[in-house]
Parts: sequence; structure tokens; C-alpha cells
Amino acid sequence: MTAAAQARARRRRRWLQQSLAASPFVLPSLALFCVFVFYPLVRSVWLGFHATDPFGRREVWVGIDQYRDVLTSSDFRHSLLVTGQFALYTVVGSTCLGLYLALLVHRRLPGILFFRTVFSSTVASSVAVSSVMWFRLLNPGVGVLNYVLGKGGLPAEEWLTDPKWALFAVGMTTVWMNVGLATIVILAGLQNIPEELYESARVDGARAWNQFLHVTLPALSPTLLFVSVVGVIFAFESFGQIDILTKGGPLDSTNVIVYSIYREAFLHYNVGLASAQAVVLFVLVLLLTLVQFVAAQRWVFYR
Amino acid sequence: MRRLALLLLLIAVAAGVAGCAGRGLHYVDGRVQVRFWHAMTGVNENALKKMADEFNVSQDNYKVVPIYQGGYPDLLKKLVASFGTGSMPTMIQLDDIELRFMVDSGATVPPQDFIDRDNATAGTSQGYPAPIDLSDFEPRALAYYTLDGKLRAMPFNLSGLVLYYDKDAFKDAGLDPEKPPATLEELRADSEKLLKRDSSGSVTRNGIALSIDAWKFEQMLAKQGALYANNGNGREGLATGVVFDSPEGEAILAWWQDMVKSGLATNVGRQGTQAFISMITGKSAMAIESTASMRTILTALGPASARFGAAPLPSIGTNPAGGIVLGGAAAWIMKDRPDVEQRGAWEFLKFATQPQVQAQWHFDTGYFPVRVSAWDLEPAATLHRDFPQFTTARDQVLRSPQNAATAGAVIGPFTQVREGIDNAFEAVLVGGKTPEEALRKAAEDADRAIARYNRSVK
Amino acid sequence: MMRTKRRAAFRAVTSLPWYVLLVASAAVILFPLYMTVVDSLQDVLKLLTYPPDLWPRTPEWSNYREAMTDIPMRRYMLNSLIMATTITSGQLATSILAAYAFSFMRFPGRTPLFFIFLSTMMVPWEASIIPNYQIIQRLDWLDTYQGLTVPFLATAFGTFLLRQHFMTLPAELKDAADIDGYGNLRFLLFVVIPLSRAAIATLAVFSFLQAWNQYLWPLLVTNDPHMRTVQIGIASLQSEEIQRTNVVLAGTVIALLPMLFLVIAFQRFLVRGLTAGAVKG
Repeated sequence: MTAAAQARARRRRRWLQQSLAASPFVLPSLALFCVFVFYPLVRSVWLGFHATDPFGRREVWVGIDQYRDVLTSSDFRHSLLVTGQFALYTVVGSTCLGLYLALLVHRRLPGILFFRTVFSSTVASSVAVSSVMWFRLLNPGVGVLNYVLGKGGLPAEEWLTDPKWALFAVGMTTVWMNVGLATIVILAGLQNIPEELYESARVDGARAWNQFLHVTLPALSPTLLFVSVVGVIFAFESFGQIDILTKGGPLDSTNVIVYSIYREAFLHYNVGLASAQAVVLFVLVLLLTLVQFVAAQRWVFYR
Repeated sequence: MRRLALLLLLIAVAAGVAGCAGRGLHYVDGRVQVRFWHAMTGVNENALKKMADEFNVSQDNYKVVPIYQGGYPDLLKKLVASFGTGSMPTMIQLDDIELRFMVDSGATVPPQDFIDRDNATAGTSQGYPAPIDLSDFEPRALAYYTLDGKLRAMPFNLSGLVLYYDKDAFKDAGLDPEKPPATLEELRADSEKLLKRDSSGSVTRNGIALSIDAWKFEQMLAKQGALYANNGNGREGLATGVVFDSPEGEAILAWWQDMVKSGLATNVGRQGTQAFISMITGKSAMAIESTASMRTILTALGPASARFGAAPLPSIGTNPAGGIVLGGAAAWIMKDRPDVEQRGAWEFLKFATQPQVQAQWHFDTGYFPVRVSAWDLEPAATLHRDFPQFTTARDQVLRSPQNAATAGAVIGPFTQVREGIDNAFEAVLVGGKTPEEALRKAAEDADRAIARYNRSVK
Repeated sequence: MMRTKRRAAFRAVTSLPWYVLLVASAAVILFPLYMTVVDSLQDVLKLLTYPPDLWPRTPEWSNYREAMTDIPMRRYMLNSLIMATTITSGQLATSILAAYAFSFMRFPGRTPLFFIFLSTMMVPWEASIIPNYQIIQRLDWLDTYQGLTVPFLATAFGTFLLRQHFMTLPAELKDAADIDGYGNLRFLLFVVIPLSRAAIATLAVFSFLQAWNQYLWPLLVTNDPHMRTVQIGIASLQSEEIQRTNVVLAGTVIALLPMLFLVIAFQRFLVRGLTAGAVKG
């Protein structure tokens, strides 16, 4: 054997040894991912090409019919619109509210720790707990929110039964749920801004508002990006609040894509059609995340 | 490496053990176990357990075990999930609208088969006790569950819609408490008199609290003698589409919309309980709701229950061919279980539908007896004496004509179509649509769903 | 003396508007929780009247007793506890192992494999629920703890988090261990893990919170009321027990308490875990 061949054989033996040594460490995770993440994705695509009978026993090939159905149906486009609106409400809402609260507690005052805890407390409230609490506030007829609004001179609405307001109401609940998380993350981001940046701004004669615009916001941009990316993903995954508060109604005004998939598969037993919707959802979330990262390259400042 | 192998082994063992929950027979105290999945809660569940206990005591071969599995939608979901596994029950209670679905699944044994078998072997050595005689059974319920000449499921708990009304409120408004409105037009007129405002002008009591339920639409359609689906409501041939976007259907939505818009009625959303609460707290004088909760509510009110009367479901205009659809829920026997379990389920159903047992069931739950003779037996008679509202409900059933409209519609994706109707209600009440537009959309969606369903079960 | 007092007074006056804002904001944030506690102490008929009471006139503490005995809250919390603990332990085990391999071991295909791991974070769980449900159904794992937990025993986020931390450990440690004849497993167990307690605790808090919070998956794979988790239990009670809304709300408060405690007690870890991705970008 030549020297080169010997070297190659040695290398291959080494690779084999390394792989064998590493496999018990990576195989558990990999196996679980293959079974519960990758296989289901492929199977969803496959199911999308088949119409299933409602008893889950037979699948009939229908080609791209169901995918075409999903992409052209007005109901799905409506769900898309609803999901997009919902994402807008919740991402803008949580980010702005989180920013406000984080700025508020980013100062040295006696007792500020108490307020920090209070503002981040909603992270402890799960989907079901938050929704049940808010249902009481938004309840048609005996809801407390309307009572309080009335006292403050603000208009009362039929939050959960009026198709104009239902999505906003669910959005409000979701913003409240997410604001704890947003506050924690943005506060950490604020605390990481080096004092020198503010020093040099002050030396340059910048007032508080200008400091905010030219120091705080740019320095916070990676954090804000993170909060909005996570927010969009949360919005697209939202299910619990809708199941408890409105069940997709009234008039499908809160029928986000995930709820539509659930309803189609588990209440109407149309597994094939629901799978087609799920695949479209996957592609959408992928695209959105990519878009957000591309946008980040242009607007986010890294030190 | 070893740890990984151990983990894989554990997973395999767990899966194996779980899978071994076995399709085989289960014996309990030497008897064959018959699992009965149901949706009954509270008082009704106790009554069902009592019925099962009495059956179990009366013979040595079978033991019926009722298992609560959630509401009807959960029951169906769980049943479909159990196809092909060992956890499928022997018998399951499902609501009426699943008729087409269950027949198409091919997974059930029609009672007709058992009846024929019993009749064929009657009097011989292998004959089973007491072949069943269907002549005393409530014909409308039998008609509902008969498809292509065969009885597909055994009617188990029947209920209907009645008009509940507050007699005190009627008296207060100058109306005769013994003459409730017989038509929806009269109901509107009465509501105008029942409307009460306080000094600041806000409404303290209105005519009726209305909860949205697609089932009510079906009943009101039948009351006008109109069809819901084509091909004779799906009974003369497979239904391929719906026909409820008819003048009769629009009339229902138009009346509903008018009542709510003019403030004579409150829209309480989709929960019937809210309508009862509205009536009991005096905010509304009437409610159109199911008799299924009549027993619980009247018992809870005690002597105060005399304040609330029951009247037959009002119609739009009067149509002699109009009546109610008597569906309720039925018991299905599953084919994929051992023969001896199926026989146990059938014996239980024969026991449960005996007149005396049905009279007790009616007394305990308020559900209508499946046997006509049971209405007059004790303790049903006592129930009617204490709560005459039940007599009204009974008369409504016995007077209802039997025709294609009152036999009830048979379509596959009924739940989906019902959702469309619920949406149509909301569309005219808060969505600004006309009844015609709303029903047209519901009908288009329904036609599409039915076409997809029919294609997938061919 | 006079100057410091004046300065203190000046600071108090200028901080006042901040305190006003802080208290007002806190009141708004806490309002839903406040109303829930108030309602949970009311008689049920009070909840049906309008205008609503903002303060319980006669607190019905018995609602809390009922919440623990009459409705299956204890069973629900037990189910959630078992599910969340199992998922957390599983995620810790699989992530520690995988992160170790990605940081301390060299093997062919390590980098592509790591990206494969990360790619799973791009797949939204909701897009794969139907096939996952079918798998659990076919294994006859509906209404079982296995069905609730097994699909979640691995986590790419956890692997990523721990790998970040492991990479900060000095390479000399491994060299020293090799010299002393430590195998990979011993090195992991006796050197790496003790040095990574903070990161592991962070992942544990995170996993537990996420698992406890799950809604859609338990909804799908459990039908038996005995197997419901707290989230599904509360949601179903809310629609089934309308005549006992006050007791259901008491149950909701009870369900909130452990999470509240967890979050407040382990705030540090929570913040660290959340910011792992944020600040560095």
C-alpha cells in the first residue's frame, strides 16, 4: 500500500471511531427529531396530496387539487388575513408596551425591583389561565372591561361577539400574555447599553429625546428584532386563546391558520385538506423568518 | 452506547405493552364486559348507571360498563381514533346527526340484524329471550334511524324543542298565561307587550332570549314542512346538496333578525344556558330551548317551577304537514368487537327499551321514552303530574305528522354544515348580511362539503 | 446638612411622576389577575349581575376549598407535573448529551449535523401536528403520559443554549481529562456538568415553563377527563361548569400560583435564557 493509501485508511478508521464514540450522544436527539419533526413534515406534504376518508382509513391520490384549493379558496385567504392582522396587533402591541415598561423600570429608584417583577409577571400566566381571566373581563353582557371603560368615558364594545372587535380582543389578551417576556428581554437589552454611549451623546449636547432616538433605539435594535421575530412566531402558533375565547368566530373573524387546521382535521375530519393548509403554514413561517432576517441586515446595528 | 440501547429497549417494551391492551374479550367476574361510551353527565349519568346496574343484576352473562367520554364531538373523535385498535368500545352513544357518517363507516351492526336473528331463532333451543317487538316503539324515532329499510341504531335519548315562557311576566303584561303564542308572528306581537323599560328608558325585560343553535333552524324548517337536503332529505337517495336556502329558511332568519334588531329579543350567543339564565332572572319572558335540560331546571326550581310554562315550538304560519324532528341520540353497536360482546350490547338495549325501564328513564332524566306505552306508566305519570310542562312536550311529539321533512335530514358532514348555519345566524345578526345572502353562502359551503364527503367515502 | 436634605427633597419630588406612572402601569398589568381573585371569592350569582363588584363584599373562601376537592384540580395538576417533569428531564438529558458532542467531540459531519439540529427550530410545531397525532394514535398512546411527553423529549434550542455555554469552558480542561484517562462520559458527568449548573438550570426553567404551558397537544391526545392537564382542565371547566364560574376561577388562581412562584424565584435563569438569543443577535 502506498503511503497516501495508508494515510487514507487511517483517516477512515479514525472517522469510524469518532462516529461510533459520538453516536450515543447525538442519536437520542436525532432519532426524536427524525420521528417527530422531519418525518411529520414529509408526511404532511404527502397527506396534502391525498383526500382521506373521514374515518381515517383510506387515502386517495388527488394530486395538487387540495393545495390549489387551499391557495385559491377565499376562506383560506381570509384566514391568512386574520393571522396577519393578529400578528401585527400582537407584535406591535407587545414590543411597544414592552419597550415602554422596560424604559420605565430602567432607572434607579427605591423599590424598582418590585415593579420589575410585576411587569415581568405575565410570563408566568399560561395560555389557558390568561384566556380564562380575560374571558371574564370581555364576557358579553357581564364583562368587567366594559364597566371600567364606561367609568372612564371610553366606549364599551361587544368584544367577543362583534366580528369587528373579536380579533382585537384576542390580540389584547395575547399582548398582555406576552408583555412580561418582552419587558424582560428589552430590559436586559437596555442594561447592556454601555454608559459611554450616553456620555458622549450628552457631551455632544443631546437632550433626552435625542438620546433615545440616536443611542437607545439603535443599540436596542438587535433586541427589538429578537422580540419581533419571536412575536411573529408566537402569533402564527397561537391557538389556546382562540379556542377558549372565540373558537374561531364570530363569523370566522378570529379563524387564524392554526385554528383552521385544527378545525379541518379534528372537527371536520378532512385530514388531507388540513395537511395542505399545514404545509402552506410552514412555508409561510419560513419565508417570514427569512424576510425578517434580511430586513435585519439593513436596519439592525451591531457593535 | 449501552444507555442508548436500554432506552430503545424501554420504548419498545412500553409500546408493546400498550399495544397488548388487546382486542380480545375482557372478562369481569366471569362475565363478558360490554363497554358503553356515552356523553351523559350529572343526573343523566346517574340514571344511566342505574339502568346498567339493573341489567347487570338481572342476568349472569354480561356486564355493561358505562364510560363517560366527554360531549358528543369528543365521543366521535375518540371513536374514530380507536378504529383498528383494541380500545374500541362495544357500544357508543352518538347524536342523531352522525347517522350518515356511522352508516358509511361500515363499522357498526344495525339492530335490524339482531332483530332478524332473534326472530329467526325464536322458540328454538338457541333462541334468545324476548325477541323485540317494534310496534310499541316511538315510530318517529325509528323512522329517523331507518335508512334503506333497515334500522341502523337504537334510539336512546330523545328530546325536542319547546317554548318556555314566564307565566308571571305574561300576567304582568296583560297576556293570558294559559295561551302562549302558537306562531312566531304571535310571539312577536306578545313580545311587544312584554317589553318593559325603567324610568331611564333602558330595557329591563324583553320578549325572548334567543341562543343560536343550528338544530333550532332544522326544527323550525320542519315545522314549516320544508326540506333541509335534496333527495327527500337524503332518505330517498343519497343527498348531494342542501335545499335549506328556501323561502322557509329565509323566513326563519328574517324573523330572528327582526326580533333582535327591534330589541324584542336578546341574542345571548351560542350557549343555551345563557337563555335560561336570562329567563330565570327575569330579563326575558321566553326562551326556545331543548327539553333535555327541562328535568334539571324544573327540579332545581322546585315549587317555583310552576311559574314557567312550556308550549309547543311556534311555527311560521301554520302548516298541517309541519312537525318536529325527533332525533336525540342513539346507541350504536360496533362490528369490530367479538360476537358475544355484541350480543351482550343487544341484550342490554332490549332491556333498556322495555316500557317500565323507559318510564323510569323518562322520570330520571326528562328524555322522552322510546316506548309509547311508557308515557302512561309510573313513575312517568307522576312526573307529568308534578311538572305538566312534560305533557306539553309529549303532546307535541304525538301530534307531529310523519313525512320527509319531519323524518330529518341525512347528510355526511353534518357538523360542518351546522357550523355554516350558526355562521349564517351571526351574519344576519351582527354581520349586516340579509337572510338570503347568509343562507346562500351557508348552502354553497354545505354543498361543497357534502360533495367532498361523498367523494371520499365512495 | 441643609443641602443634602434639600437634595433628598428635590429627588423625591422629581421621582414622584415616575412613581405615578409605575403604579398606574402596574395597576393595569395586574388588573386581570386582581379581578380574577375578586371573582373567585364571590358568590356565583354575583358574577351574573351587572354592574360587577370590584371588591368582594363577603369573601367566599370556601370556593378555594371546593376548587381543590369538587373539581379535579389536583388530578390536573398532577398530570401537568408529571408531563412537565418528564419533558424537562428528557430535554435536559438529550441536550446535554448532544451539546457535549458538538462542543468537545470531533466527528465527521459535525457541522452539517449541527445545522440539521438548528433547522428543526424553523419548523413550526403546528405544521406537523396531524402526522404526530397519527403516530401517537397508531402506537395506542392516546390518553397516556407517553403520548403527552415523548414527542418533546429533544430540543434544538436547548442543545444550542448548552453548546454556547460549553464552548466557553477552556479547552485545557478536556486535555487534562484526556491525560488523566477520563472517558467522554466521565468527563461530561464529573467536570462539564458541575461547571454548567447555571446554564442547565436556565434550560430546566425554560423547558418546564414551556411544557407546563402546552395547550394544543394535550387537547389532541387526551380525551379522558382523568388525563387532562391543568391547561385543558381549566379550559374545559370554564365551558362545562358555567354554574360554578367562581370555583373555576379559584382553580385558575391555584393553577397560576406554582408558575408565579417559579418565575419569581428563578428570575435570574429566566432572564439569562431569554436573552441568550436576544442581545447577541
